[in-house]
Amino acid sequence: MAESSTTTKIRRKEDASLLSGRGRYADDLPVPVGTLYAHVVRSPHAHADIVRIDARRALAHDGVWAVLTGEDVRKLSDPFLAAVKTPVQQWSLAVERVRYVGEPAALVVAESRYVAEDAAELVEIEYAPLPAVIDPVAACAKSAPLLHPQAGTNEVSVREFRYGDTAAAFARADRRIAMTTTFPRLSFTPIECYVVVARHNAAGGSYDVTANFQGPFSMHPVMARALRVKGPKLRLRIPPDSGGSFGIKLSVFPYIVLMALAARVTGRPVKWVEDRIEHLVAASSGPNRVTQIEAALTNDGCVLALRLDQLEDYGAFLRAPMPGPLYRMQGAVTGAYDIAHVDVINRVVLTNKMPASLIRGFGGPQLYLALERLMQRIAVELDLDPLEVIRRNLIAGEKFPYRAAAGALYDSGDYARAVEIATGDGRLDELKRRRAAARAQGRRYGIGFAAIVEPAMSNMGYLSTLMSKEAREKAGPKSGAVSMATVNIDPLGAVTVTADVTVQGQSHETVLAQIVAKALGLRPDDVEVVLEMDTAKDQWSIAAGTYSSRFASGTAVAAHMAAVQMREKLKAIAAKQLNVLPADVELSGGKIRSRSNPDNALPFGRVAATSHWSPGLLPESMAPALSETAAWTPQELEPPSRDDRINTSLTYGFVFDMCGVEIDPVSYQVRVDRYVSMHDAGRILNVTIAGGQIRGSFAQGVAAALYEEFAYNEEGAFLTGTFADYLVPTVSEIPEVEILHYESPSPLTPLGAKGLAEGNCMSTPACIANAIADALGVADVTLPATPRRIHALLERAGATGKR
Amino acid sequence: MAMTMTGEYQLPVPPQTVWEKLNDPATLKACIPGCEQLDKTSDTEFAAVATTKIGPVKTKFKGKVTLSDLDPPNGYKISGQGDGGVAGFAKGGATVKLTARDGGTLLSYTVEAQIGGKLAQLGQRLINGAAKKLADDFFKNFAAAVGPNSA
Amino acid sequence: MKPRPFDYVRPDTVEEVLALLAEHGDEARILAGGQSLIPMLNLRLIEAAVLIDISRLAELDTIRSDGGALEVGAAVTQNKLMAWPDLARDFALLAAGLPFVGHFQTRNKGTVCGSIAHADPSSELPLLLAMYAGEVVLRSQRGTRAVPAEDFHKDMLTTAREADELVVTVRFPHPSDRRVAFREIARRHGDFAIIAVAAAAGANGAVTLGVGGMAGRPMTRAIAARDAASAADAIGQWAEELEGYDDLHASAAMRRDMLRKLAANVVAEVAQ
Repeated sequence: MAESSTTTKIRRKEDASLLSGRGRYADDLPVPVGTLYAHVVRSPHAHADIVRIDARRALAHDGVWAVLTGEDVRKLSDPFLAAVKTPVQQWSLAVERVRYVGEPAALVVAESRYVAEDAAELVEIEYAPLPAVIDPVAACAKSAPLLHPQAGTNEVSVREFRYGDTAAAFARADRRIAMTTTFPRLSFTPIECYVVVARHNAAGGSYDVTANFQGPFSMHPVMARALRVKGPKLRLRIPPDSGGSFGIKLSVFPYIVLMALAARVTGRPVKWVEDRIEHLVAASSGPNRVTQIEAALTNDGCVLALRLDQLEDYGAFLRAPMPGPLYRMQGAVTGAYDIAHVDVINRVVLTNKMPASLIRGFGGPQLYLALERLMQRIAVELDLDPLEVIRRNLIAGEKFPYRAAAGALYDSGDYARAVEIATGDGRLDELKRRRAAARAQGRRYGIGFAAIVEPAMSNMGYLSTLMSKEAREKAGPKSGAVSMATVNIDPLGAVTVTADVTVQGQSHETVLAQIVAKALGLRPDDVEVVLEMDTAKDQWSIAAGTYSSRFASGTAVAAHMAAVQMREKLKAIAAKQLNVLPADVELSGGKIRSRSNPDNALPFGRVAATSHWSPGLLPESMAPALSETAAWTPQELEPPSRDDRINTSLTYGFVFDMCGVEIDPVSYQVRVDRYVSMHDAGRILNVTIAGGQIRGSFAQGVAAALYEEFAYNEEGAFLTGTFADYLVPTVSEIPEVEILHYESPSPLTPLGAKGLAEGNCMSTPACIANAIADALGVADVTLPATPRRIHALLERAGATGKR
Repeated sequence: MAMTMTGEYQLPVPPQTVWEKLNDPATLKACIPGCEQLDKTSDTEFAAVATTKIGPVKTKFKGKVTLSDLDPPNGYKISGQGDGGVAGFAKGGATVKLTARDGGTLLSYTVEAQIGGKLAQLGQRLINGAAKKLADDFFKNFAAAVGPNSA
Repeated sequence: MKPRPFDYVRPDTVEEVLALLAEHGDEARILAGGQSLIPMLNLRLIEAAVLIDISRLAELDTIRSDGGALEVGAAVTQNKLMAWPDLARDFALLAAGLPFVGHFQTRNKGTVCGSIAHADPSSELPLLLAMYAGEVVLRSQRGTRAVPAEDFHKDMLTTAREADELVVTVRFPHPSDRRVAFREIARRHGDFAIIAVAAAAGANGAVTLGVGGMAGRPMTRAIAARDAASAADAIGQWAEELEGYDDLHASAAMRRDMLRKLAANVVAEVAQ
């Protein structure tokens, strides 16, 4: 697929409907007659025992059908399965105790949302407050309040990994440099919040739920088990459009179960639309992480070995498939650097905050903040140029494919070359001149760099790295990642594609149409793409869904394979009709023709019709029906090795960022002056869409660096409950980004493409933090670097210019 | 949001008189902003109902007021906690110290206040100012109750 | 995020509004642009038995300028005032400050009087009214009174309006100032200000400085700006007096620091 037709600008198929208000979002879909509306009553306390719930007044309110509590949920359902075995039980409503502000404590079901909210004020819940613990380090102390006393600790998973001989490398090192970084809690709030419409079919004992769930569909069995039904008895449908997800819509799953139970209790369909206040306080967030990182170094800045202690805070519960972010980068923990020895301690801690889960970039931002801040720190302490320290440690181009110390197989790349182009075309010299000029005027200006590896398409086995090898052997190996797509052709030759992704705005429709059209010699407009999911009728596996940048290296490949299968079938059918050998048949321009005699041609639709109307004329041994499904799982995604090495993802792209920032002396706002981002994502499938993905990811990287944080006080009160306090940067705040591309096609996928939609979420926070460190000459930069934090930093340094 | 506020008042009466006022339910009721009910349930505990009003935002808190660390006539700690229903909850305490000075009493206080639930979530931007005002109002009212000429 | 039940009334005359206010008092709320009221109702932070919609009352949707003052009626949106042709010429400080009020979209609905009646401590319009030493005209069935800005704004969200009164207009007196400046620091474009600072210099060189976001209401002070150093001293002293307050986005110390720097800038700007 190296030809140019996939890289030329193709208009998005989605735009016409989305831009004219014709999207079909979950809340737009019609609901059955008699649908009831639910409202969730939430805990105001960070930690408290539920002494008593009295719903009598609420139930007496006109129009109220039911009030569900934790006791009902305990009777009607089972606790959710988790990825880490602990004695912790979690349900769709709090049972006996609440553990974070906003935790669902009761559900009111009524004839309208208004009535439900009125009645919610009448649900009397008596709480006995308990001491809360918010800080992840404090939560590990023996004296810390326990969230789940039956677990005996808040630190529910600790694993140590040794890759290579780190101790020896540290012993022979000239220098050691250590630092601690903390990555904040934030979310990437989608415009559309959660929506669930649940029905219960009493006759069959089955549930039929429409929700804007994003996958992974490994959560489907988790939901079915909680509802005490077999998989097929939980039919889950995903609407055709979704107003963004960024990982957040994985965590709608407890509400899917809750509304299904409400439908069962009331005997009516139940609809729930999450509002923004609920979304901010309780939907989901990325986990915050405290990382202690230390490098063993030579005097000229070569990193011989690393030690990382990663303490990740998942809030009140460790929901499946957590702790994904802590392990997703495990194989690639050494980033873009050629470091043979690394020791890693991964620790999971629970605190009185909303449960954390996946958000765009998951695990990458946390890792690279530590790794890239460390590289900058090494440069400062050794008095070297930060870019030179990066260069000296990058994996050399000739080493690809490269097996990283912890097991990742980096498929392709030439990092040094990409950096060279980025600093040249991105005009690093000019950036340095700007810094010199600003500093000459007494302004605070700094330059930052970040060099990162961007993984895509997760190995479904990566989470099993958190089990000991004995436990893994007992549980059986987990590996791979299945992607599925189907191509159908109707009797008049119209082509339809379905695939195992959920739509969230990533232009899947456009790219799938483009890939299939190309294989079949058609125009993208000739291909209809239908992506609303229905677990009862569609092809899916546990890996289905839209997450971990699996589209370009997964589903797109499956679609390509299905289209090629279809092409070969059409060639065989046409060969008979054209009276040539199949090898002489080609599909192009809507025709199927002889390559050697182009005048000998049939319209595409005519060939398609044959298989429908005259299956008897098909070549011998060919199955009738024009429906081809391909399932693709790459061999490289092996289970963890006995020594815990794991190839966590299939493809590994490269991102190199550099930026200049200036600190405003009055407002203390960090202003990004220039930002350059170089991407090697293998073969680019569609350059327009790639640009959109990079810009979106960059905006969220800037948000993490400078604006967005879920703030709690020490007692666990949630302080960023509205958009007046949880600051999502708008178009006025996001700087321009200069995007550069370098293409090292992946040898591991037929399309050569890698993921690119998460890279800047990983690189930009680190790059901006490095620039701030350079501007202020400080070692500790806490993100988001808000004016309040910058002011406090400068005040400590006596540099606010206070008279 | 946990907040700490401090302040002091010079009162024209001796510590013993101030101490008695600090333990007098009628005085306390008159001084707690928006207090509608303060019923003694033990020597050191009161059941309380108070409506706080920040402009149009009114919240009725039901809870209790407790006196602790009693050290007559040098000071004590007065704490309150209230449940505002769906609006959330409030907890706070003031450590009050009385020192004889200039023939009167120097009353100094440190207030810690904590507001949780919906009010903290939605009213973050205004809540510190509101809590500060309530604390100021309590001691301003108290100073006025003890001596009209105190400042 | 749905409000509690309420009655909605859209009267045709101010007299009807006053009658409703007399009847319902505290239980009634005036709906003009709804940019603060509706979210607060939806969040159930406030209650209303009756919502009285004045947004389509033509007699309140007027901007008048006579020799003495600019009178802005209660139904006039912020964008309508911004578009008033003589604003930049005659009321330069209003013209400088209005673009900081929310966003274009919120200014299309939000009213000038509504923002002043809401009395958010960091809103621009109360600060602008204070800078002009303007007044708020209140009407009830008991009569009409005009309250000076400094008496009208008492504290955060708290004004001198009685429960049966309607803010019918606000008056911005014609300024004698020669030069004006308005600056504000907010986290994002259109956010509530962390602090907002305004300055106006009169013919005699006296500078009036105003600040929002430092106290429960906007504050103004005359600053002797003979030279930069004495102005800085006066501003520094004022900053300490005002103290400021902590919130998530700025500490009190940071607010004082911003006031010192921003005020020095605007004073220098107007005192040239």
